[in-house]
Amino acid sequence: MQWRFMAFYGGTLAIVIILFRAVTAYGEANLTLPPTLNPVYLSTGSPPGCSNQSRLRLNIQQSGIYLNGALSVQPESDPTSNPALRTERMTLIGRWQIDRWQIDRWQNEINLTGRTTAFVDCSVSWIDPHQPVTVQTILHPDKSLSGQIQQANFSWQFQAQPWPVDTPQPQLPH
Amino acid sequence: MSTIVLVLFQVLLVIGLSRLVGLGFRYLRQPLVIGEIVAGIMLGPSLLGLVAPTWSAALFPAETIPYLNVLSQIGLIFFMFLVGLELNPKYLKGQLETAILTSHVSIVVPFSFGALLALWLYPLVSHGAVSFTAFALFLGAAMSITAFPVLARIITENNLQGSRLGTLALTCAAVDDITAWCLLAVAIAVTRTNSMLAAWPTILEALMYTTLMLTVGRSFLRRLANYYRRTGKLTQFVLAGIYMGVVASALVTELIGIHLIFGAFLLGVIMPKNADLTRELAEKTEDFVLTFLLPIFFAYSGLRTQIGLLNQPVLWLLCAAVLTVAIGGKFLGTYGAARVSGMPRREAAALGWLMNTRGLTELIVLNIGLSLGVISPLMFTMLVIMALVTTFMTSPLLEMTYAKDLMRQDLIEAADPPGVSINPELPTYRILVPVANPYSQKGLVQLAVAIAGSTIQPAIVNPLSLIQLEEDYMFESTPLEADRRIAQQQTHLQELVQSLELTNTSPFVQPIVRVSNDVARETTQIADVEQSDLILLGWHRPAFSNNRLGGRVGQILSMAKTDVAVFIDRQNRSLERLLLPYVAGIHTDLGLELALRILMHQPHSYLTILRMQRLDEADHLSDFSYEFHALMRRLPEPLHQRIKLETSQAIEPLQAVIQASEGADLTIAGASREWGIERQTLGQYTDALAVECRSSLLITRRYNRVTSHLSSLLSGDPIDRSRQAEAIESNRSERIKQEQP
Repeated sequence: MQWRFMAFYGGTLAIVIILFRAVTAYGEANLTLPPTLNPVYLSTGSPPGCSNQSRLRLNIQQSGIYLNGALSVQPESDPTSNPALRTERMTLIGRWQIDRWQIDRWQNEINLTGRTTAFVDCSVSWIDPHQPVTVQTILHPDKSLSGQIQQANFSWQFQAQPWPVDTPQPQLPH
Repeated sequence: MSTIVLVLFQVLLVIGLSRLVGLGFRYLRQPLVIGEIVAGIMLGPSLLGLVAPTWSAALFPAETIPYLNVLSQIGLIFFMFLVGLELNPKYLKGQLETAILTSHVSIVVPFSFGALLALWLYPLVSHGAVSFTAFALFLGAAMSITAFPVLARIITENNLQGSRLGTLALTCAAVDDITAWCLLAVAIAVTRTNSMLAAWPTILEALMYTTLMLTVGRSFLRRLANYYRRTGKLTQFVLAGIYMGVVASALVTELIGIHLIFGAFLLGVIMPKNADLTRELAEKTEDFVLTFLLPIFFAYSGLRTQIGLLNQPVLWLLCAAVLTVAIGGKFLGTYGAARVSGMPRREAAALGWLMNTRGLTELIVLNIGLSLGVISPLMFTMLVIMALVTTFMTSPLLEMTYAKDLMRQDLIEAADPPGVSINPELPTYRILVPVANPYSQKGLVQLAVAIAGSTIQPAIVNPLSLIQLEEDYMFESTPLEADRRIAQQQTHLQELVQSLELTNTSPFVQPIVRVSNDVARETTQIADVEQSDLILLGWHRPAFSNNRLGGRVGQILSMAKTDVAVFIDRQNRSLERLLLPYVAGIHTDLGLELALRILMHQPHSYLTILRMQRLDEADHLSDFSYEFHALMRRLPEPLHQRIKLETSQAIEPLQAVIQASEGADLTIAGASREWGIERQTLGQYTDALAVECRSSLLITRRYNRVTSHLSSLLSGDPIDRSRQAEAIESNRSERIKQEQP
């Protein structure tokens, strides 16, 4: 029993250590992560039909390549509505694409699709909340986004800047 | 509304809902903690945020979440202290070699599977500056967790703590717990430094602190145990000192760079395991922590769980992969190691399912991972689902693999050394007697002994004491504490049995003491497993009604798949004058059979069968049934001489019976409308006779029309009948001789 016990025990531990070292060596050398997006972006211009002071806000929740987003319209400088503190229901879905020709290279293009009620309060309702919209954006090296919102034959080009997230949360244990 | 008012509203909602859902899960025979975790998830974006986003935003605005986080972290620190306090070296008893092997293999196999799975998941669900090594370490650690506290409760609830499987599972889980926390500490150190090499200083500091606590800390705390032994109580000053120690230790480990929970856990581990000190300290701490702070942790965790993130089929596929690897890795590792150690297949499989319990421990690990950013919200949600599924499945899979009757059989085999048989003659008649209070229910057990007898037929009376566990995580429900309470209750029952002054109490009267969360259900299940012929219950006044047959007695009457008799004791110890008011029916037939059994075993007993005639229906006298005549024909002559048939005329039969009961020691009545004892349409019982009867009362309710309580005592063969008559007569003569001075 003793030798069988020790052989099984020692063998298992040895296999695990070798396996873990091999796996981490491979992973560190070959696996890359998609770029990290800022959780909140604000458009530099106002959406069509909305007041000149309003801005389009794009909330993004990123889990690796899987993205969830939410669109909303808010005043440009409203101290009471810190976008980072507002929680939105994520209705847009998308994902990062891996470059077809290079496995470790990520495309800088993000597509999000879904329904939104962000524009119902604008004077001209140019987006039908019952139909899906497509948000096509490109992430620039300075972390800003540029792209368009599209539904049927209508589209709006926009530029967006990342909103600094400095939520008043106390430091979590780290 | 100010933030503090909102937070207080949140706390109200959280505690109320977690209790409510927890109770619902208890009803489903699941650990309360699963319900509390689910309640937390319900309050988050997965349910409340989905169906009522406005309410969700109003109830849980972002600015209040940090306050919930602080409360939940405090709760977590003290919960981990309780977990450490509960870890007793006594769990590391017996089969230690097998336990260490099984435990470590049950960690390394899922850990390896987790690391391999990380190769697939890392580029898909991870982002930010997380290194692959940290991600793989964390995923591996999450896969290899076993929740000792939840597992210990599942073992206690299944009464496995004394079995080979139970002790091994507890030892494995204790070793597993310590190993997994060490692994997690390494994972956190690597995550914070983002490399294995840079994590070494943190790991060394953690090792040094652990060594310091195990030597100097433990030696200091031993003095505390001595102080407690002298004074016999835990003063508020001492308690304040201990709590300060918990927080200080948590701070040290946080500053070292692992996590504050480790410090609290470590202090709990090194606390002296003086049974009284541990119990008092746990009882003083756990009420507030478990009922107030821990649900806040579950709510905080639930607010971060977003099942809605699994919004694509491929994500559910990933979730299924996580679940498969977690369950498969843990099961295969445990099963393989247990088989190599020589464990039978069934027990090895049961151990595999038990070790899959992840519960709350996994939730703690996942929240740390999410806070550190090593796992994304999506990965967090997948792993929370995995933790819930693996804990939820444990009890049903354990039941499937290792059914209750097999457990019982193994417990009996373990208790009886091979070759020693406690009863060479198999009993053919069994009575199960639930005893709530051994000091006040002597009459109940006496009656059971009188019905069962053991001279004519091998019979067994099983006084049953069920220890009800109030809560899941309470210290009282730990296996060691449950063992202590079982031993205490066994002593009380033994004292009760000895007070009966029977000539051959053992093995005739065999007490059963078990732990249970549902007394009524457990009683009926034990009656099934033990193949009891009769459940003899004492009457209890229910807490929420005045009805004698309501409450727990009513539940057992509803659930039992065997004949039941309810005894209302008027403290009359004699069983000489028995009265059976007769109304044709199966319940009265059962009453008659029990009365005849008493006559056979009690030489001085006489039975009066009272037939009722209503004065307003002078021509109508209730007839004896065919079964009654058939039974009377089969009775041996000596018994006939002790049975008297009487007829009573009355306007109200019930009043006549009450009057007749004045001259009786025990009235036996079948559940019947005539006596005001029957189930009404809305599930209520009327209990007129139970209230007004002047003698002790036995209410009988037949479940099975086929079984007869006299079948082994009475034979249709005339030769056998004469032999039975001789046996009864000789039994009677012997008893009378014994009773003469």
